[in-house]
Amino acid sequence: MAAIVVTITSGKGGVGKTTTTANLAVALAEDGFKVVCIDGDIGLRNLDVVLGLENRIVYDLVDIVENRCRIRQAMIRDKRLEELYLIPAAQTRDKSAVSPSDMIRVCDELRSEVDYIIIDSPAGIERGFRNTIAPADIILVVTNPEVSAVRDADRIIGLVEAEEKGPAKLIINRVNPGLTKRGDMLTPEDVVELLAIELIGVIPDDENVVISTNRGQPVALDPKSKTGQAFKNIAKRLQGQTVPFMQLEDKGDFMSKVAGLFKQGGD
Amino acid sequence: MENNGLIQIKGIREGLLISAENGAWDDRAAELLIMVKQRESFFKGARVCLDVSETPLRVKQITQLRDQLSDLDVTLWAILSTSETTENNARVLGLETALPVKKETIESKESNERVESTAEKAVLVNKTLRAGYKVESLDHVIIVGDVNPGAEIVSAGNIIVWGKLKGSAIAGVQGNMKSTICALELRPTQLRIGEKVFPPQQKKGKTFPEVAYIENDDCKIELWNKEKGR
Repeated sequence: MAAIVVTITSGKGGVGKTTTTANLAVALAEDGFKVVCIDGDIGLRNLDVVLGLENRIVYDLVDIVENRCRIRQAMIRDKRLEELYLIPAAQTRDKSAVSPSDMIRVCDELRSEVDYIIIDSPAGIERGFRNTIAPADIILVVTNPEVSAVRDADRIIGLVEAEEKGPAKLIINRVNPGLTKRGDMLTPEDVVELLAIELIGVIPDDENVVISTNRGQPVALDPKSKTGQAFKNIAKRLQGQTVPFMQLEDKGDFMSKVAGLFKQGGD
Repeated sequence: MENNGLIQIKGIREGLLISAENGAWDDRAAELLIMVKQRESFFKGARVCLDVSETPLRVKQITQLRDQLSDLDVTLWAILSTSETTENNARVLGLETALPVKKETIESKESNERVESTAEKAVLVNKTLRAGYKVESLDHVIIVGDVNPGAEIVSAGNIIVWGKLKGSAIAGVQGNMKSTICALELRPTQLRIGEKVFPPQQKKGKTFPEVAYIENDDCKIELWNKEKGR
């Protein structure tokens, strides 16, 4: 086996990097791959919370880098899926505890043992970002259909190109078909037109994601969730399959009707 | 400490200024790393500005050194160079290319050379400028590609964008009010010629190639028309 290292990044905070990392990892593991996710947000770890593995952390990424444990010991196995592991970030340190070459070394050691290494990047363009970009084979840039998030994504895509790691692929998260239909939000087409990179996924805006995140149960584990399906589709596209993009219209119409009702009542 | 004299270190307000101006680049980089390793406690946590004189450096060379220094807990935050390649590549990576003080001296020097700066040379950039990218030149600037919001072009002469201009463009930065800015699609964040800032414009729907210029101290934007001979 030779693992593919996928780094999830965005520039702007709060657009859904960690949620995407967790769900993509779950989706790939459900497809039968051996997956390790690494939380690259040292000092502000939360991938463990989203995956619901917080209470099982003994060793972390910094322990590996500083030779206090072997990689194996820091890999927490997810009990819900056979082959899903997490290497958590250290909570008590900061980004400078790990260097880009440390990350390359850790990933190289894992490459022969797993199929996918999914790395969650911190917000920003400093050391933490460079750490997570350094070992990547594929970079996925997450953005929301908001002008500020798209601007940061553009900057990140430029930096990825400069590091000769491009071209990155794009995930547009929290798309609200009701709002885009009324012209109150950028459409996925608008975003793709500006960023001019390949689109690999569109995730609908879904309050269930908040609930599942709080419970530590990624939506991709729920077979009925449409949002979970959107993440599974990204996993399929990463494997090289052609999957048509989901139609978000139906639910959007319903959502906008509901929103419209509230608006009438409120005004 | 032993050193072949390839490298000099100076303390400045912004941290350390390391000059590595002569010799083959690989030797200089290697020597710098050895020096940092030998004086680990001195360099630990340092912010370093590197002066490479006229050496053209590729992105890979800069990132390699930056990452190696970063492993030693040294932050490379700026690269000074007279080579345009090096400056551009450093900028792409988000590094500074001038010290705050030095910048002023360059600017004052430039304004003394105002007459010369209208020379008919141009910088050609053959790609889309993404957010955070800046092209700065005393010559005309031609971009073949888009200029995205958050990207910036500064030129002492004209600016031509063969694509969509959505970022900021400043032409005639040293006061040449005859400078023009043209683009296939002119939807800039900000447009300036000399000190004149164009009023913001809202455009919807399809647009055509346009040219922006100053006439009788007024900001004008009109459709591209070759008869005008601009």
